[in-house]
Amino acid sequence: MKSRNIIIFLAVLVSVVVAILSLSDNIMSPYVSFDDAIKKQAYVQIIGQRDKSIPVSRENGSFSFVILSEDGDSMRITHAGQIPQNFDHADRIVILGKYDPAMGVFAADKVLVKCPSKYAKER
Amino acid sequence: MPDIINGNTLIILALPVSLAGLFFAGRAALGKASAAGYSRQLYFATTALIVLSCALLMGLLLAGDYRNAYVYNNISSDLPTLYVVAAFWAGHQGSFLLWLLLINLVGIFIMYSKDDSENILMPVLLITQIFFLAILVADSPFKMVWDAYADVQPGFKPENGLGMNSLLVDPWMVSHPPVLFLGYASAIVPFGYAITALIRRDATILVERAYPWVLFSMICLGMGIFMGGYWAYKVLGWGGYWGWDPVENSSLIPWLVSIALVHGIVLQRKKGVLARSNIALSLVYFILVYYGTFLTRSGVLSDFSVHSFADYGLSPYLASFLCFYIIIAAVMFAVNGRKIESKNLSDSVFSWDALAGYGVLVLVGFAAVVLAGTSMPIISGLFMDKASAVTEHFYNNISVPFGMLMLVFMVGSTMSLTGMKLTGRTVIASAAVSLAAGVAFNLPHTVNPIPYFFTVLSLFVVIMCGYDLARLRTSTVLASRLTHMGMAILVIGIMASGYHSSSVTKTFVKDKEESVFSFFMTFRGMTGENKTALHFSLRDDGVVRDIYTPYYPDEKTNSWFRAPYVVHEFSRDVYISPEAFHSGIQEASSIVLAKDGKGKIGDLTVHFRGFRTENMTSAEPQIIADLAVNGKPVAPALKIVQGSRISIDKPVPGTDRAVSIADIDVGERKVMLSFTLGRNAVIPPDSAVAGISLKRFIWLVWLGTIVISAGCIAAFARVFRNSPA
Repeated sequence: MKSRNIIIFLAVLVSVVVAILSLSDNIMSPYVSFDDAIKKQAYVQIIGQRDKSIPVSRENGSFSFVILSEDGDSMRITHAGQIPQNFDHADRIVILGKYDPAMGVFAADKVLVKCPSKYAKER
Repeated sequence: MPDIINGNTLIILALPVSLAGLFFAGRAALGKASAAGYSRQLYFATTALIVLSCALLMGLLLAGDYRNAYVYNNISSDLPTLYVVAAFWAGHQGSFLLWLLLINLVGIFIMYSKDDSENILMPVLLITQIFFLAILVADSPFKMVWDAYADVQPGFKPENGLGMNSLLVDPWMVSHPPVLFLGYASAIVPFGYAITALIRRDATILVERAYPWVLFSMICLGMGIFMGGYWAYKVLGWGGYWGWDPVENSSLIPWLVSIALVHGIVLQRKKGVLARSNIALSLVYFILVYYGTFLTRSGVLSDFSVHSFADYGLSPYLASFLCFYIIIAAVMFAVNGRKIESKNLSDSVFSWDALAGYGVLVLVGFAAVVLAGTSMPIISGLFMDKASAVTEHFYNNISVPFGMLMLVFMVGSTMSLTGMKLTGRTVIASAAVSLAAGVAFNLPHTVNPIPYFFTVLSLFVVIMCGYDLARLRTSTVLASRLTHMGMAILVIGIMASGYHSSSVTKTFVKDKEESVFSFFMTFRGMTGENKTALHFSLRDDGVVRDIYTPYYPDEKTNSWFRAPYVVHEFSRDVYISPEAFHSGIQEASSIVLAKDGKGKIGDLTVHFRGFRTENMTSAEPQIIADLAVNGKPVAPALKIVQGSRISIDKPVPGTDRAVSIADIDVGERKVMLSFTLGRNAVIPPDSAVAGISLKRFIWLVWLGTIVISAGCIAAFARVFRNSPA
């Protein structure tokens, strides 16, 4: 009796997990290039350096800035939320979200700042 | 400090002494009784060496000896002594040393508790100690600055250190890490007892000996996580107490397993069930602690977290020791696990042990899913060409069924234990009250069904726990009902602060009142000398209060340090976090332009045509910026005399203003111009941007964690009352 009940319980639990995961959006965030982010228009993760020659602009509670990929592509990011700590000094910035073709910008769901390691200079 | 007592020497010396100790401990384990004495003496010698090296590092920190790279990297002269002490665990080398010290002290504790499994526990401890010593030899906290940095002359003593990251200068930095490390360090004991149980083919030792250690480790880990949550909320300005970051998850996963293990051992003690599962969980618990360390310190997740996980070159060490433990545990469990006697859970689904057993299963399942999520960058890297992390949505969504099941089994198992009938009057009345109160609590704020389900269920748990505490002898049920009640309060707090909250980002012009939610806020300006803050006043129902949010440049990270200000009210927290400050004077007087760029400053239109150089071969070369201001040419310049810049300002035709070059960026062909203000200048007011959010009943989250902790301490106290050992 016992092991059969447990197996049934586990099976139900696993199927609930699978069901929830298959019904939820935006649960995975693969790293993609800027081109792929524009092409796919799916929830993705991009990384780049902020283009500091273009100032951060703000309107209606969201802020917007431009990042550059390693290949030199640029992408305008908007984020309805707060500028994270250490934003000005960020080494690279990781952005999770979706490309918005109507606005021509990448709508960020999260902006993660990667700071230079304090041990970076050590040999 | 004499150089003879070198920290590196102490650590390197502790390594062979530990190996020798392991040799004798191994012989003792194989039955040679006389070896145990040698093993103990060698162990005490390692204790002396480790304690001495800790004292040395602490001494170097307190003395501010910046020749030591760890001291140089982690403190500075202006740091209060409390944080100089805390700097011991602020860097990763120091925190490994602390962890090693705690593991070693655990061993001393075991020796003095006259445990007959000492012969098996000590080799396990010694192997781990050797692992830590190897890491510390590879990446020592006793490196000198000239060994750490290529361009430093031997013997050089820097005037000051780099200091501590401002985010870490917080009272929680003093308590949060050591408490967590205490939890990590004590996880080795249940692991050792599980190995003992497998060797002896008898799991009763888990009930008799391992339980207090599991409980202790669970309490430390839990409190450490809670403290981390308070800290994140108060300082980090992430706007929350939990972010599903790998650093947080790597403590949460083992904590969930330790909770499962505590319940598993209680079931084993009362019903003789789950003996094999408990051995497996004890093994897994310890391995997960190390897996978390591997994830956060090896650099494998460096692209997937807010935290900077630099690769310290330790991944091969961490990975190989992790593999070692996994293989040992798996092989021993595979060989001897089946020979361990254990009873089956009751056939009846509604019996206490079955319901509690399912609860254990849910906890382990939740830990497994969070583990899978946290490891996703590694897993997906193996099977896909692009590694991928999971997002917060993954964790939030998956927590819904697991959270509900936990609450259901929590209340179901205790009800079944005390023989309460689902159709009894108390139960029906409590359910009705929970339903009504839960709906009333959520209705004005959200229509999302999730908080309704959770609040109703949690209220029911709170009522049933309260009922049990009131009618039963408290000493027997105190711990379980308190922790369960605390968990339910925590869940209500999570729902209220999450689903009933709202936030807004607003720009405030100085001295102009803005309406925010139901109150009014005014930006009063920037105040303070070195550690400046943005000053706001908040007017609500005729009461005006001043609010200062820290906002100053942090030298260590070379960025703005910003911390939120929280107004605590009964029904909500008003969480105000500063985002940006714009100086009006700067706006009226300075402008940055790229080549061929145009901009407006006050009523002037400025066009930057480009740079030009003059007298480049002479001793006083000049860089000239060709401008057109309101269409008329102006050419301010920078003269370079003996390597220093002298600015040559020029009047702006048709105005009483003058322009000079404040800074240039030749590489990007940009210029920063500074204009004098003139007699009739209009200086725009300073302004600030701040995010304001309302977090409803967030104190329920804190209350929940306090009640859980109280319950845990009650459980721990009970163990000591009941067993004289």
